[in-house]
Amino acid sequence: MVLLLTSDNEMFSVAEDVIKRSAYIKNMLEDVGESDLPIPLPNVESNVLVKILEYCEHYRGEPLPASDVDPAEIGDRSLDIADWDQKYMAVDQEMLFEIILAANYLDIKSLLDVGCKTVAKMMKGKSSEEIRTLFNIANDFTPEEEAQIRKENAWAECR
Amino acid sequence: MSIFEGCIELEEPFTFSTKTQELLDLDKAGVDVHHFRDRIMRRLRELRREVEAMEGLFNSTSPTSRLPPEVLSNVFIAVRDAGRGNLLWTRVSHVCRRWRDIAIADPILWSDIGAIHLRFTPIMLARSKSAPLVVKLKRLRSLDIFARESEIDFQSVLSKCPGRAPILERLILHAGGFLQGGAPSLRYLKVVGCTLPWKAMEKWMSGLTVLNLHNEGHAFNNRVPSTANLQQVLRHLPNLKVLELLHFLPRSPWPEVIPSGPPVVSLPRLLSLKLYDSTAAIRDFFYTAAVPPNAVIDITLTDIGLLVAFTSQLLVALKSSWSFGIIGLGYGGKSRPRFECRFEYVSQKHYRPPNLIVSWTSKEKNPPIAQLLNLINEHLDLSPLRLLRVQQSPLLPAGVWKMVFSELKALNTVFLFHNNISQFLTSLENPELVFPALTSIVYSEGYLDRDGNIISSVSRLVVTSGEKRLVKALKDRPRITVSRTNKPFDISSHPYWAPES
Repeated sequence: MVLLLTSDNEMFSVAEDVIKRSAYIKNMLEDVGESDLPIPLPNVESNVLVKILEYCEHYRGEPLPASDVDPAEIGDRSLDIADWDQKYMAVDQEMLFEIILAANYLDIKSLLDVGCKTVAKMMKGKSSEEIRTLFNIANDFTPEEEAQIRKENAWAECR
Repeated sequence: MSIFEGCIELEEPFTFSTKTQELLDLDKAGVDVHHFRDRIMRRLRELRREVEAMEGLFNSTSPTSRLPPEVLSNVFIAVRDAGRGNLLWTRVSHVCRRWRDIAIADPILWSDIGAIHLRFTPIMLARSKSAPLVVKLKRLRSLDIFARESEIDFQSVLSKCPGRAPILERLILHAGGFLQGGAPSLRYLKVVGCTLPWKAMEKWMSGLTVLNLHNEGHAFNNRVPSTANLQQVLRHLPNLKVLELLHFLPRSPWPEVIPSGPPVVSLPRLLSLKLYDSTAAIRDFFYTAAVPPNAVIDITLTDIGLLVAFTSQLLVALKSSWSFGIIGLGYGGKSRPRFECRFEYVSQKHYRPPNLIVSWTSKEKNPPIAQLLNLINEHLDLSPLRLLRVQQSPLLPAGVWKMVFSELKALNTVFLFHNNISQFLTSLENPELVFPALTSIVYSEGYLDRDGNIISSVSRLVVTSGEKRLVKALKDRPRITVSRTNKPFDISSHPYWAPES
C-alpha cells in the first residue's frame, strides 16, 4: 500500500497497482523504494484525489500506456471519449479543471487526455463569444487586436 | 457584446470617479480647448487601462486561468484536430489575450495545414516557426514542388507528413537529392490507392513504426508489390509496430504453388497486424514474415467460396510464422465481417483470459461454421480456453459441442447471445459429455422456448419450457450455475472484451 497526503492533510492508503497509473508516483516509488512515509501531494485536495483514485481504480489492471508510443501514431485525433470516461467527467466546471490539474501534476496521461478532450468538446462549434460566456472570460483585447481578430475570423470562415 | 453587459446592473444614481467628475464639472468657458481635449484623452487612456486591469482580474477568476499553458495548448490542439480540416478552431485564439498569447506561442498548433488558404496559410506558416509541418492535400491530381535548399528544409518539412492524396497521379519534387540520404524521422506512412516505388522504399523507410497501405480492390493488381519486393521492404522495417495491408499483398499463384519452409523475414517489434485479402495471399504472407507471439493478428478473408477448403492451409502457414497470441479471423465486407471467430490466447503480456468468440451474421442457409470450428480445433491449441461466447450464430451442431468443446479442461464459462442453443441443451442432457470445468452458463436478455431458442424479453415471471429443460439437463451437474444478463454484447465494438471476473 502507498500512503498519500493531500494538501488539506487527509491521508489515503492506496494499492500500489492502482496509483501506479500516475507516472509521478510510479517514478517516485521506483526512486525511493519502499517507505512508510506518506507521499505529500501539496497540489491535490482530498475531494479531487478521491475522483482521481476512482479513475485509477476503474482502469486497474489495464495495461499502462507505453511511454514510447506517440499518440499521433495511434491516429485517434477525434474527440471520441469512452462512455465510462464521459460519465466520470460529468462534473461541474470547477471539479473538471481540478481533475485536469491533478492529472497534469500526477502525470496521468490518459486522464489528462480525456480532460483536455472534454474541455475541447465543450468548446466545439461555439463562437469565441460563446466560449467566453461558457468559461466566464472577459474580452480583454485592445481595439487594434480586435481589428486583427475580426480579419482572421473572416478568413477562417470564408474557405 | 462584453460578458459584463446585460448581466450586471449599475447602481443608480451612478457616481463617477473623482477624476472624471472633475472633468465633467469643469467650466469650459475659460479653458483652452486643446488643453481640455488633452486632459480628456489622457483620462480616456487611464480608463482603458483600468478596464483592462478589471477584465484581467475578472479573467483570473475563470477556472481556465489555472490551467498551465502547456495544458491549455493540449486543449487547443484537441479542438483543432476535431475540426476536420476547417479553420474554425482558430477561434481559440480570439477568446482573450491569455489564450491568444498561449496559442500563438505554440508552433505545433499552427503546424497542421489542413488546406492551402490564400490569407491564412502564410500566418500559419509564420506561427508554426520551425515545427515540422503536417500537410494534407486531398484534391490534388498533380503536384510540383520547387525548392532550393536555402528556402526550405524538405526533410524536416515532409518527413513527418502522414497525409494521403487518393487521386494524386503525378508527384514531382524538384529538389536535388530529395530523401536520398533517407528520412530517419518518418514514422507513420499511410497510402491509399497509390503505386509505390517499392525498390526505392527501403532507402527511406527504416524508421517507420506504422505502415498502412490500402488498395481499392483486386482490380488494381499493378499497385501491389511482388513477393520479392515485399520481402525486401519488410527487411528494412525493424521498428515496425503496426502493419495494415488491405488488398496490398502480392497476388498468389494459388492454388498451384504452396510456399514452404520457415518465414524469410522477421518483424521483431510488430504489435498489430491487420490483413484484408484473399486466403491465398494471406497464407503466402505468413510464409514470408515471422510475427512475434504477443502481436494481435486480425485477418479478414475475402473469398468465402474457398474459405473452408483453404482455411486449413492458411492455419498451417500461420503456425509457421507465429506462436498463437491473439487472432481475429473473419470473412466478409469491410464494414462488418459476416463471420467472425476470435481466439484470444493468454500470454505473459496479456492479462485477458483465453476466450473464443463465434459470431455469424450471414443469412446463408448452410454456413460452414461447424467445419471451420473443427479446423480451428485441429490447428489451434484450444486447451487453455476458459470462456466461450457464441453470438448470433446458426445452430452449432451437437457434434461440434462434443468434438470441440465438451472435453476442454479449462472451459468454465459459456456465454450465449441471441441464438438457438438446443444442440447445447442436447449435449448437456448427454451424461457422456463431461464439460469438466464448466461452472457457469450465461445467456442474453430473453427467455428459452421449448426448442432452445432465446426469445425476446417479455414481462412475465413464469419459467419457460426451455428453462425447465435446462434445469432438468443440469440436475446431475450441480456445479453449473445459470444466469441471465441484460447486458447487450457488441462484438464489433468490443473485439477484445474481457469478461468480468
